[in-house]
Amino acid sequence: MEALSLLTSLDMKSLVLLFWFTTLLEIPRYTIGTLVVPTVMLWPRRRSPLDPSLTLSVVLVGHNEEKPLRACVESLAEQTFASQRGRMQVVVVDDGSTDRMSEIARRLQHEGKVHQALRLEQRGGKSAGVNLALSVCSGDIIVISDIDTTLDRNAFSELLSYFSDPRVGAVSGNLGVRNGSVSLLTRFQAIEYAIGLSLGRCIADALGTLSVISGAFGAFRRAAIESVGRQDVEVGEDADLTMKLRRAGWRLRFAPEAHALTDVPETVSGFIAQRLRWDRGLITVWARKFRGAVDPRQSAFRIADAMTVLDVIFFQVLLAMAFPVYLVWLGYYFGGFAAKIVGATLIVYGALDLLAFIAAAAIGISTPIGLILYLPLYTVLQVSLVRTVRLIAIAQELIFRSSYRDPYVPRKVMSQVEMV
Amino acid sequence: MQVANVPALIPFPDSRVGREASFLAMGGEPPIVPGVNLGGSIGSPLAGIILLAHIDPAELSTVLEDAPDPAVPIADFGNNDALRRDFVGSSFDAASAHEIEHSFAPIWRRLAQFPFKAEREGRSELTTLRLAYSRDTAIEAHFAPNSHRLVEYPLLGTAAGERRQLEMLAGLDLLRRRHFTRTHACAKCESARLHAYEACPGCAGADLREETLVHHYRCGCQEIESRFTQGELLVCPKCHRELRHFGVDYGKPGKTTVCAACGATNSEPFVQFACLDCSSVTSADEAATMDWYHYHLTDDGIRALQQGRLPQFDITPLLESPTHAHSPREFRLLATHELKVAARFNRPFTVARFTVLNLEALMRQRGPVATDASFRRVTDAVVAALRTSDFVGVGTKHSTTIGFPGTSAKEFDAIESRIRRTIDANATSHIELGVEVAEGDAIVEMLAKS
Repeated sequence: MEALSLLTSLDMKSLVLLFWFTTLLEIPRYTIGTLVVPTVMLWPRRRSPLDPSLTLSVVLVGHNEEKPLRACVESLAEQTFASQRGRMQVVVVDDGSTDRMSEIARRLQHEGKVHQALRLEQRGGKSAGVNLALSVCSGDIIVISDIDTTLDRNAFSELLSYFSDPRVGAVSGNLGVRNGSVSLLTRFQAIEYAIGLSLGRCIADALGTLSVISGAFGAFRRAAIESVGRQDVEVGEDADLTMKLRRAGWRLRFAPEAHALTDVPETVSGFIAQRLRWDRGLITVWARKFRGAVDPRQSAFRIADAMTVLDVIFFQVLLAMAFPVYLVWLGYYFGGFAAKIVGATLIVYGALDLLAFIAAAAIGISTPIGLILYLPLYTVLQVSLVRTVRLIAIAQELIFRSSYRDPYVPRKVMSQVEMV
Repeated sequence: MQVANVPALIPFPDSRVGREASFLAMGGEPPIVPGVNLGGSIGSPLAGIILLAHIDPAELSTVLEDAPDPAVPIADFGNNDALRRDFVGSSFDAASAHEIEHSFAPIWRRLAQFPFKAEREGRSELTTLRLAYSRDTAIEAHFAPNSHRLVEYPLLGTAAGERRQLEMLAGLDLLRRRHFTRTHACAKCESARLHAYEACPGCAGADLREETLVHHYRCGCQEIESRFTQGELLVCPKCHRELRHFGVDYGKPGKTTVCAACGATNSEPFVQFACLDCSSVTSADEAATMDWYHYHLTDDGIRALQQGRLPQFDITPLLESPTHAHSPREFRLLATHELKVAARFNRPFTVARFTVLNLEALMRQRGPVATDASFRRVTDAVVAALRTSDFVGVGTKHSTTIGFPGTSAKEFDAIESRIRRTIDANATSHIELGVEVAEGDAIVEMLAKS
C-alpha cells in the first residue's frame, strides 16, 4: 500500500527521476506493443489463399524420444492438410538414441505413417540431424517440429497459407504450454508463452522484426533454407537460422493461428537450465554472430535487420544488465526507502503485464482466463528469477563462452565449432 | 494297382509278424524273391507294402485305409519321395529283402506290442500316434523344397490336413510340440516358397547400395559419404572445408541405404518376398506366418494307443457352464469338438480372438486396479450378450477368445459390431480392440499360435 501511495503522490518529473529504469527503458517497449496491437486488430496482414500445389515435408529429429514419437506422428495424420495424400512427407531422424526410438520409427514406417526413417548410431546434435533430414526431404515447405510438440488440426494449413507470398522464407508457429496446470512454475511459463513469446512475436511480426522462428514448430521454404546452407551448429540453432534467413533477404512471419503445444520444465532446476541455454544464445547469436547487421556501412545493411538485432540486444541483454545497476543505485541513494520504490516498480510491471495479458487475449492468443490470477506471481518471478538467470547466462557467455560447453550439442561436435 | 500273390519261400526268422503275414506289392509285377511271401491282399493282415514303381499317393492311401493296420511298414523301390516309407532301395531282390527284414523287424516288434484297434472316427489320429510309436521316433518336420508349404513330415507322407491333425493331437496332450521353424506365405497363392530380398521402402526396388554417413562437426553438415568425396579427399559440401581428422573434425555416425531407382535414403530397407510359384511380391508385413513343430509322443498318447481310442472327454459340463468361460485347455477341447461337428454336418464355426491394443496406455492412465475392474465389467457385459451355444476362452491378460458355433466369418461381422457396442457402453475409458477371426482350418492355426 505504501508503494502504491508513493506512486500516486509523485509528479511526472519525480516519477521519471525516481523510476528512470522503468520509465525510460521498460515503458517505451510496452508502449510500442500497445500501439501495435490495435493496428494488428484493425488492419491484419492480408494472406493469400493456400497454394494447392505446395508440398510439405515434416522433419522430426530426436534423441531418446521413444515415448512421444508415436503420438507425435499419429497426430500428424490428424492434420487437415494430411488429407491431401501425397503432399506430406514425414522424416524421422533418430539422433543416436539408446532407447527404442529407432524401432518405433521403423514400425511407423511399415505402417505408412513415416516415409523416411534415418538412424544415427552416434548423437550429433539437432542441427546435424535436421541437415541430414533435409537431404531426403522432397517437400516445397519444410516443417521442423520437436517430437514432444503436438499440433492443432489446422496448424499446417495455417502455416502454409503464409507461403503463398513467394518472398516469405519462414513462418513461426504459435507455441502454447501443454502442462500449464501442473505447478506454479508451469503456470508462470504458460503466461510467459502467451504474453512474452506469442504476443511478442505477434508484435515483432507487425513491425517486421521477428527474431526467432521457433525450432519447436516452424516452417521453412525449402529454397530459403537451402540458400543459407541449412542449419549451423549452435545452441540457439533456431535463432541462428532465423537470422541467416533474414540476412539473406527472406521475409519471416509469425502465424498465431498455427497453434501447437509443448511441455515446459516442471522443476526449477530444469527451468533454470533451459533458460541459461536460451539466454546464452542472446550473446552468441545476436551480440556476436549477427552484430554486423547494425553496421550501416555493410552492403547488406537493412533497417529491419538492425532493428531486430537492436531489439534483442537492448531489451533483453542491456536491460537485464542495467537492472542490478538500478537496484544498486536505489540502495545507494535511498537506503531502506528503496524497498518501497522496488515495490512501486513491481506494481507498475504488474499493471503492464495485465495490459499485455488483455492485449494477447484481444488478438486471439488463447490463454486460460484463470491464469490472470497468477499474474502477480508472474511479475515477481520475471523480475527476480528470470532476470537473475539471464544476467548469469550473459555473464557466463561473455566471460567463459559457456554455450560452447553446453551438453545440448555433443562435446566432440562443439569443440570443432568456430568460436565467434 | 497290381497285387502279386507269390508264396512265401523264406520266412523272416526274427519277426512274428513277418512269419504270419505276407507282403503286398504295388506298382507292377514283382520279381520272385526267394523267402519273401508277396501274397498279401488288400484288407488282409500285411507284413509290409513294397512299392515297385511310382505310385499315386491316393492309391496307397486307399490300400492303407482298408489295411487292418494302417501303420504297416513300406519299402520303396520306385522313388516315391512324397510317400511315407521305411526302407528305400533301388531294386527288389534277395539282398534288399534281407535289408528290409532288418529294417522292419523293430517296427514289427513295436507294432505287435499294441495290436491296432480303432473306431472309424479315430482311425486316422491313432494311425499318426502309432506311426510315431512303432518307428520309435518323433514326428519330425523337414524342409521340403518341392512342396509349396516348404515343410513336410516324412513319417506321415504328404497326406493333406496332417498339420491340422497333429495340432489337434497336441491340443489333446497326446503329442508334445517342439518348434521347428516359421514359414511365410505368399499373399496371393499361399506358397511358402519365397525369395526374401531387401527393398526400398519408397519404391520397393531392390537395387540398393549401402552408404556411410559423414558428419562434419564444425558446420553441422551430415550427408552420405559420396557427397563429401572429391578424389581422395573428403570436402564438406556445405562449407567446402576439407575433412582431415576422423573423430576430431568429422565422424561417421551410421550407415544408410540409397535406392538407385528412386534415390530415397533410409536407414534400413524393408524385407519383401518374391513368390517362386506365382512371382507376385509380398511385403513382410502382409505375409502370413505359419509355425511348424516337431511332435513327440506323450504318455497320454501311448495310453491312447494301448486303449485303441482317443481320450473321451466329457464336454457336457463345459457346454452347460453358466459363465461360458473356460480355461485355454477346455476351450481347445470345445473348439476341437465343434470343428468335428462342423465338418460332419457341414455347418459353419467361427472363432474370434479379441485383443486390447491399448492396455499399457490404459494401465498408465487409470492404474492397474481400475483397469482390471473395468475389464471385468466389460467382460461380464460381453459374456451376458453371447448366445448359450457360444463359449469363451480366457486367454492372456489382454486377450479373450470366443467360439461361435453355427456362425460363419461373414455372419460374424454383425456380432462384432454388437460386441463393440457393448464394450463402448460399459467401458469407462476407450478400449482399442483388435479382432482376429478364423473359420475352418484357420481355427487350428489360431489355436496353435495361442
